[in-house]
Amino acid sequence: MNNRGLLSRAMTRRSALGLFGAAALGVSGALALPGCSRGATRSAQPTRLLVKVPRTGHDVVFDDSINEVSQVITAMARAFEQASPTPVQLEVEVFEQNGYDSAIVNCFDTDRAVDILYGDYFNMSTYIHTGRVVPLDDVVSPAVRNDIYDLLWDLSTIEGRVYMMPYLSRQNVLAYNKELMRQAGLERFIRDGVIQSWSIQEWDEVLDALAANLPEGTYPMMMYAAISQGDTHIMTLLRSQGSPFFNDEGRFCLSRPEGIAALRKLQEGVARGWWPPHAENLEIEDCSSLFRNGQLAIYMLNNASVSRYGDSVGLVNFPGGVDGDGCATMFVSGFEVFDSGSPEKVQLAKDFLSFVYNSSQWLDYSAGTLPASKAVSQRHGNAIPYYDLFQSNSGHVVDFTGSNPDTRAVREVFHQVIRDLLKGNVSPEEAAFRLDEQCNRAIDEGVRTSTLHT
Amino acid sequence: MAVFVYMGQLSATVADYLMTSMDEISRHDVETIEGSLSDSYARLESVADRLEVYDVETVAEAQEQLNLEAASSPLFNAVYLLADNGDLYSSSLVRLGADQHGYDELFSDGRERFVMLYEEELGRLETTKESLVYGIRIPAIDLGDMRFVALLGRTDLSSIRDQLLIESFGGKGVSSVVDSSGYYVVGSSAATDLAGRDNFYDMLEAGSIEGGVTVDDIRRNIADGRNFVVYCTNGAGERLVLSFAPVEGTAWSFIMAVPMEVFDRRVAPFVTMTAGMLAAVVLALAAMMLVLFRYMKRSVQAQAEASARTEFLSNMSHEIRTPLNGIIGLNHLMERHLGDEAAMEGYVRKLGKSVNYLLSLVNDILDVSKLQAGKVELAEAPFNLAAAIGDVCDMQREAMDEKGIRFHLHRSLPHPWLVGDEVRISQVFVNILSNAVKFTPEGGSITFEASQAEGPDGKVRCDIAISDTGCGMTAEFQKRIFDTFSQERHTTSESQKGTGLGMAISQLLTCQMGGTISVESEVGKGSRFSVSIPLAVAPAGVVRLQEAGAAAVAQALEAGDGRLDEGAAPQVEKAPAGDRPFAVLVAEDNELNTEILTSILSEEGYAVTAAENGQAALEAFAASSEGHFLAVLMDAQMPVMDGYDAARAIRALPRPDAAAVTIFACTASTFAEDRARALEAGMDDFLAKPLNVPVMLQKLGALREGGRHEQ
Repeated sequence: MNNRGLLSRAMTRRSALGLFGAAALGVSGALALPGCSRGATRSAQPTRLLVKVPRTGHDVVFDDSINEVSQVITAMARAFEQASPTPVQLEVEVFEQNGYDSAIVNCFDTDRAVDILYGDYFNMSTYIHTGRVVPLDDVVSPAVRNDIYDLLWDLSTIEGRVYMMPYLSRQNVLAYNKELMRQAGLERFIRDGVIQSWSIQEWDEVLDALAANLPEGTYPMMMYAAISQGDTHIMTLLRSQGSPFFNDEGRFCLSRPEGIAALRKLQEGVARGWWPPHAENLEIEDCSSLFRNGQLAIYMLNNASVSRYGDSVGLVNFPGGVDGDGCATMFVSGFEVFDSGSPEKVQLAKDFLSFVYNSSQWLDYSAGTLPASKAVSQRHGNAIPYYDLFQSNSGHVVDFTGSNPDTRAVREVFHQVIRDLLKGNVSPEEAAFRLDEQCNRAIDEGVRTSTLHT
Repeated sequence: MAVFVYMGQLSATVADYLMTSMDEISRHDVETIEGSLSDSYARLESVADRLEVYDVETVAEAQEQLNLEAASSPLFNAVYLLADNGDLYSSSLVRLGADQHGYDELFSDGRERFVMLYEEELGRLETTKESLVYGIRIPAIDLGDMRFVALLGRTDLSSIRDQLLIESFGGKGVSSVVDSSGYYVVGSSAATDLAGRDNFYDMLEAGSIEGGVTVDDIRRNIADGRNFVVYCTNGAGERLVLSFAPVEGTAWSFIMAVPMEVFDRRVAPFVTMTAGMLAAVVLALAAMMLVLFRYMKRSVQAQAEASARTEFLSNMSHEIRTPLNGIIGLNHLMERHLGDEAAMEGYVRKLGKSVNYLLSLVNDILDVSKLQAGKVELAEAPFNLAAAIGDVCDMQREAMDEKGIRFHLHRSLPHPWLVGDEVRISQVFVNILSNAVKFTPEGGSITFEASQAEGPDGKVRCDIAISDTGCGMTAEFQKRIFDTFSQERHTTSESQKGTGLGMAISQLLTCQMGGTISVESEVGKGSRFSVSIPLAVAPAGVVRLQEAGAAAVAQALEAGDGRLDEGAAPQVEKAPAGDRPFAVLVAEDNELNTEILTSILSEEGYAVTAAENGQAALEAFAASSEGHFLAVLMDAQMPVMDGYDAARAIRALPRPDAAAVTIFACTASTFAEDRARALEAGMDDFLAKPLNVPVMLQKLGALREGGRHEQ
């Protein structure tokens, strides 16, 4: 039986049953994998692995039945159970995006301790420094290494060892409402089919024009600081005046002139009407609603969400960057394996990842956003919305983590300083000092307490 | 049956109690939720009040004010103004046209307030999280050309869920609130996102509902705002009790879910307690019954004992009066035929028999009395069982020979030397064997079998069986044979006459020795008595000594209290006359007895000195020349000075013969302790009253022949 043919049919039909067809396909494909024996004895009690996945929307270009990534992980798990020569049972638990702590940290050393975590690197990277995440170098065969983009390996590697396996990524850029731009007389900035990069002057021009010309109740650009959610975008805006944000040691360096200048822009933007009033009290969800409702001209989108707006929006990189040609951010999602004290479980968890990363079928299910696999990108790139557009923009991607071992501690500080800045409670210099001082203290503490699993 | 009914009622009572508890918890939780809702409405009203106070003139200003209200509110994530044209303005500056939402329709029925789970279908607000949306109608606020008529507030449900989620029954009972669509307003679900929220009806669909209730029934009841209870099993197979209560002012239903396991566990202690109480009651009743039974048994026993005593006394009276009657009658006849020597000889012979019978009767009665009173102390001394059996058989040999009875003795005694009361054991054998002789006709046979086996506690069980070919006993009599005065009086043969106490004594003795006695008998064929007595084996050293002195022991035994000798009185020979009569001092306060003794002894050639009490005897002895008295016959109980003191006093006299003279205790107190007391007082031997004259003469004769008496 030709697996590729089955897959093709599944892709063509886009049926709701596609995933299950693919799951079965995965089984048949896996049976041919080295080390996977058809004649394995299955009478023994299966080893139980707990896979945890945050609730995350996900599309697959060839399977309309998929709308959450947990569906893909569950199908992978079932296929692995069938293929594994060692009896194994994988339970997939879905938790909410804001429930990482309760799902992962609070379950350490309990019977609900995670064995395999699929999630966003942004949240997952912190756990590596607890010493509970095992290195996965033995999973990364030369073929797998060659198939994954180098940038993603860089983000997955700490001190020369791979602790996370990238599966897919999303690239975030800014999007503008074409109609509002037109209303503000900014037609010349509207361009289709490209992700623009405006200069600092152009950004000032655009935002001032929007502030001056948009009707009442409509605002130029997103800004929020009520909570930490979405703060990476605000961090990226702080590169607008040429700040690298992190120094060579991965510490905040906003007290440099470029950083202070960017903070000043944020604060000046309040007075210049660039942001919605009282943006310090807004959340990213509020800005999303305003943008969706046509009340916000510029907002953040990624390669997956941009398709919801169709032709009504244009794309532009975040302002600035070291070279001044604009920035984009990237969110990587992938796997981690936790050491729960059982070498057998750790090995089976690694076997699961080997199973996935050596299966073109299961890698294909990343084809909805930007796949980590070059092969999948090649196979499905044409079908992935805006794939070429965002792939060609990858040179603008900046690392907003700085290999920070404790991103959560930094985030708790960051949004509060920005809030004070927007409210005018602190000067840009004071804000820069507080950010550098408090965030670097959190990073230093994270480094100091970091323990890597060997 | 009653227990099951009781347990059923108990379970029902506990279930009612738990249901009442569920109701109370439900009421409390519902009140908490209703209170929380009232507080939320009040907070919204406060926002409206402040809006009127603020000097806002435009919608934008109003939105900015709402922004500050939301930012400072611990409850609302966003606040909305609803215009009369349907436009909705939020604190986050979003403006939704009437065509973008349906929240204005919630007031269309004239209601003043509402609360609902956020539904994107009703209008997409600035969140994807599970939220509550409150709405209140407010006095109209005019801003420009807009008129605002209602205020809405949105609250992230996760921020208040913990406050409303109430556990009960030790964490087993979970309260939740669902809206009319079955979505959880409050529940244990971890989902906080609209995409992941659970639905109560899905849970019901995944399981089963008892009592024919359908999910639609429940849906209808919730919509109608009813209180109700259902029993169901969820998808995981867990049986649950679900109690529903409406939340006033909403389309929600409060649900208290308690696993049936909780009910079972709550009932279990009561069941255990009840079982324990029942067991205690049964035990108490059993104890009461036991006490009652013992009391009744004791009462019956006491009655039986009283009856037995009465019967015993009656029998004893009868048995004593019978020979007395004979004696009196003979006495009368003798007075009338004093001159008829032949008749007198017959009367005297019969008188002797009656007297002997009376003596044995008294002896037996005393034995029975002491045995029944538990006052018989058994000796623990080495003895030779084989020899004892031989002696017993020898005693009966003459009687058996007279009747031509064939006698067979089989002894298999690997341990002949034992420790026990030889006298009492022999008494048992004599009783049985003499009975066998009595009731076996001429030409019959008697078999005496003796064997040993390992007994308890390292002892030897001595099994004695005495079989005869006598007349046998009826089954009825076999039941009574060991009772006192039991005689199967199927014959009036003089030869078979007895006291009726022998077997009773035998049984009492055997029991006291830890043994058993039983009888098998058949009328006309004979009887077989079996005696089994556990006895300790005599230590080897003792055995050697005993064997060395066996003859002496046998002699000593023979010189016991005399009873064993009564059936075989030694031949009395007249004392040979010497140069001078041997003097005997008789201390006796009874003149008749003194006279009789004096006459008997005088006739036998003894010179008798009589003393009426111990003091007189002491004085007489003291006054005599040294070596004058061969012996002293000392009564025990006498006035002035009793025999014991007198004996001590004589022994204490400072003259050589005081210690050497043989002193016989002559007393009607015949028990072992009396004998011991006499010996302890310095007396040498014991002659029980009534005196066995031949024995007395034999002992005196032995003194006269051999000098100093040896016991």
